[in-house]
Amino acid sequence: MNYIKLNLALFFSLTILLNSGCGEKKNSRVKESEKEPYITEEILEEVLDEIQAKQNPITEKLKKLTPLSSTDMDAWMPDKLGNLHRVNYKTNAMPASFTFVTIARFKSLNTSEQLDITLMDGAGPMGSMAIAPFLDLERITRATSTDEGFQKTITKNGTVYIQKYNEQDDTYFLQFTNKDRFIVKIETQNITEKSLWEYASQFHFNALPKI
Amino acid sequence: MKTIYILITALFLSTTSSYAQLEGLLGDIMEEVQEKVGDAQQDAAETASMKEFKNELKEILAGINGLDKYSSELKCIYLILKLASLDQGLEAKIQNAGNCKKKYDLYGMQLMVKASYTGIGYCFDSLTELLDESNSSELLELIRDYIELKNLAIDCIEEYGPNLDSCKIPKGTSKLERDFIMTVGSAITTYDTFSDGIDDESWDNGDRISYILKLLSYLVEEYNPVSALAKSIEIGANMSALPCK
Repeated sequence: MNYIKLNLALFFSLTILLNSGCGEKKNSRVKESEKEPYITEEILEEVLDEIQAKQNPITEKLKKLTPLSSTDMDAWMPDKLGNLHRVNYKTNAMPASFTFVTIARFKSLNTSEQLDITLMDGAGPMGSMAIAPFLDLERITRATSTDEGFQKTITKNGTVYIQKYNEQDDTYFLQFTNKDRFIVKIETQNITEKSLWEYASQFHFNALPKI
Repeated sequence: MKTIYILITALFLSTTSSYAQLEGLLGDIMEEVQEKVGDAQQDAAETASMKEFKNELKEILAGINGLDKYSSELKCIYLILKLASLDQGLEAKIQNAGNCKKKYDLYGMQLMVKASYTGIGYCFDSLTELLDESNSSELLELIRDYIELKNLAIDCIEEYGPNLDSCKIPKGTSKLERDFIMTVGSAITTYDTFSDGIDDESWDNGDRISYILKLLSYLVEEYNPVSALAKSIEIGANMSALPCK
């Protein structure tokens, strides 16, 4: 009986919706200020065409998955990386983005060594959209070297890494995707290149779920 | 029966077209929920949480009136994001609620959020129209404005604690406007979080625009009034299935 009532309620609600007006619309436009000149109508139209044409099988699969829970992440994220202690940790760090992002900071208690990790799960409708541009990091093949540092693309065991170094503040940046589902960014301060890779290998990326 | 009452009451909101009406009806619906759903023996904490929730919902919907310098589309995005965030928060609480009455209460609150989407139905119409390819110049303007907000918000995100030095939101900005900038701007910062470190010519604005468009499409599809009402029925069924109804 309740279901009949529920169905009736749905019917009435849809009827009301279809017949109701669209409401008032505020007309004020945003303030006239500097616009970003490089976004043109041509770029927008290209993007609109691409969105309509593209059906990425990986993101389609990701869309249907449920992102990790905070409890899952609590179990995965280490408390310690060698001599570095976890001093900050937050799951669902960007709730407004509808994506599951986790951040953590590790620091040495005696030196100025520091490592930050940011990890996003590409599962779910928004996660799959957010990870999409980063699934083909191999397209970034340009290696650059300047007085300030370098950027290069490295492939190790089938994973493509973007690695950057800034000499001025002695910071490394390492970014990669894991199993086409997670995007990971590691940033360090006052840590050698060798230690960067050693610390990175201490995260159990293999234990993260697959697509 | 209580569930049906809430649903029918919620449906009245679908006929609303202005905030003033919506506010009045929100008051009514809350009273009805308190009276019909709330148990006579409901404890003080639950009553307080309902009250707090009512105020939160009213504050969000009232917010739109103080943001005249922004476009109606950006204000709509703000409202949808705020309601969606409340919705998601309630969903998480429902999953973790052990107490049956508490769960029932939370479902009631979620129904109110769903009903509120119908009060901003014009937002969904307006965004759907904009997302239509034929409106590309207006859509372009929205994207540019959106990116400006994102640029303001991105340095103010306190991932590891307050970072007031880099925050570009001018001092003296009202609490409401700050919340508006942070809510709307932060919604697209995931892209920047993972693209900022990459220095490459193949990394163009196409990906960013694509992400903004997909976010907007997602918001429209996921939270439009028809979808919200369909979900309301599901919530109603869940409420009916609770032993403490």
